Amino acid sequence: MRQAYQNDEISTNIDKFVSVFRYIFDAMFVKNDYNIINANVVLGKLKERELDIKKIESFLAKLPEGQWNFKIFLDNLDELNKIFGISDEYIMKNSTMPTKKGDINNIRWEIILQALVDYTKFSNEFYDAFKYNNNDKLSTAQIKLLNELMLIFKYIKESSKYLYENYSHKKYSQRIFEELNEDRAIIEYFLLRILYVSLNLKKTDNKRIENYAKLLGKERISITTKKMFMPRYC
Amino acid sequence: MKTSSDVNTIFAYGNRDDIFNKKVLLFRAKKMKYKYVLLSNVSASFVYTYKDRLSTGCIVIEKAIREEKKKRDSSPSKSYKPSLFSLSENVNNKISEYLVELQRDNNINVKSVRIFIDLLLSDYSIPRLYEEDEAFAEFKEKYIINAEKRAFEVINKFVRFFRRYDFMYIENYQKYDEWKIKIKSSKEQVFDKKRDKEDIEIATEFLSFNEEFGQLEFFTCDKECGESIKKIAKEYRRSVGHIEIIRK
Repeated sequence: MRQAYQNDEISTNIDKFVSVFRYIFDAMFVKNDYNIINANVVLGKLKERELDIKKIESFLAKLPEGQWNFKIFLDNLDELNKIFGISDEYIMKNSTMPTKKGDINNIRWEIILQALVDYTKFSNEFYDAFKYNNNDKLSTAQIKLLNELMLIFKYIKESSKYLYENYSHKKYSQRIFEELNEDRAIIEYFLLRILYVSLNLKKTDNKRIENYAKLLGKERISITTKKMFMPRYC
Repeated sequence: MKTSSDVNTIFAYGNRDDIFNKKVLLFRAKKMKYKYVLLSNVSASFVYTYKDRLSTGCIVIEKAIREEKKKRDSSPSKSYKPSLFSLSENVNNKISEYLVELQRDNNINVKSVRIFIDLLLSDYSIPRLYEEDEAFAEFKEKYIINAEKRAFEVINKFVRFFRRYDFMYIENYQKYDEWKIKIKSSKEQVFDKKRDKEDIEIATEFLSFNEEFGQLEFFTCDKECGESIKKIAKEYRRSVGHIEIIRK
């Protein structure tokens, strides 16, 4: 099965999904044109990448407009899996060799490890693109949003790399799979959040941009700060 | 006993010029043997706001330098070549103007913003930021990361004073969404006619904690926030820990 996977018969959806951010960020922070970042255009770009935009659209419409927390992501896991996940049927259909249940788990494990490498690659690219962004026309609100996105991609690149290095040598088991998923889910939560924010931005509205920068910042801090507190007494 | 507080108390603690500073210090000293529960929304709001203030100072530097560059690049006059000394002066003036504005509008501890900016500018001088793109990119990276670290230092200092402390995550609560709906559908006039989203989130967490994990006290310098939580608790007959409003 490893052979089938390595022959590119089965791939992750990461490239299709995350590469749309290149288009969004280019319009937002380089061309400075928020008019083209409306829901229809972004969804159209996702459609070009063969993602089911009807499902994405109706799913995102159900999510709250205000502050999110990780619980929202956990509560919607089944639907997220249907939209962005890779089904057992897909794996069966694309495998070049006869596939049993146990094989599917092994292939899925390989796909997830590959996804972590993809996350590192993309987030590293986005982080550096933000860091070296030279646009002098950005407002304070836009810079705040850019900085928040930088911090999110910093988190994604560091945590996905760490996870890959820690799990790539391990073999699939249900326990290890669940353990990895707990940390991986945070990465995907942030990507979903960025997509949601991108679909709701308008150029002229600095107040809205600043509000989203604040929401992203607070959500990131509340999820990722466990390590920042150093208790003296426990 | 367990106690908690809102964002304003932590800001007041960190700013000697704040009118609530001494009262918060006294109150905190009285409760030092309690277990302090740092609510998830409180820590996120504090860290974000504190970081935002520090980094906004740096955004001013960033914007001022970019504007100067643009002005020089687009000037039709070849004689428009201000020296790096005059450029530094322009940028420094902008920083000072911004800090005055910040103090006037937000009643914050401008000293800490000033120190933060000065420390960064001791690593990256304004002429260097102007001349070197690589240094400029590094500066940007450094200020957003360091601003957040500084915010954590302040909040750590605050909670470490208590003999024990614990911090919460939204995922810990089962009733969080339920309480949010209850607050939004309350018949009472609360939280600036329900427009103060930040305080609503904190109240939601506080009420959820009281229902799910036992009684928790709360101290605040914000009269409206304290009164609103009391009203909501009364309306829904939820027994909560003592809510202390620290007055001027």
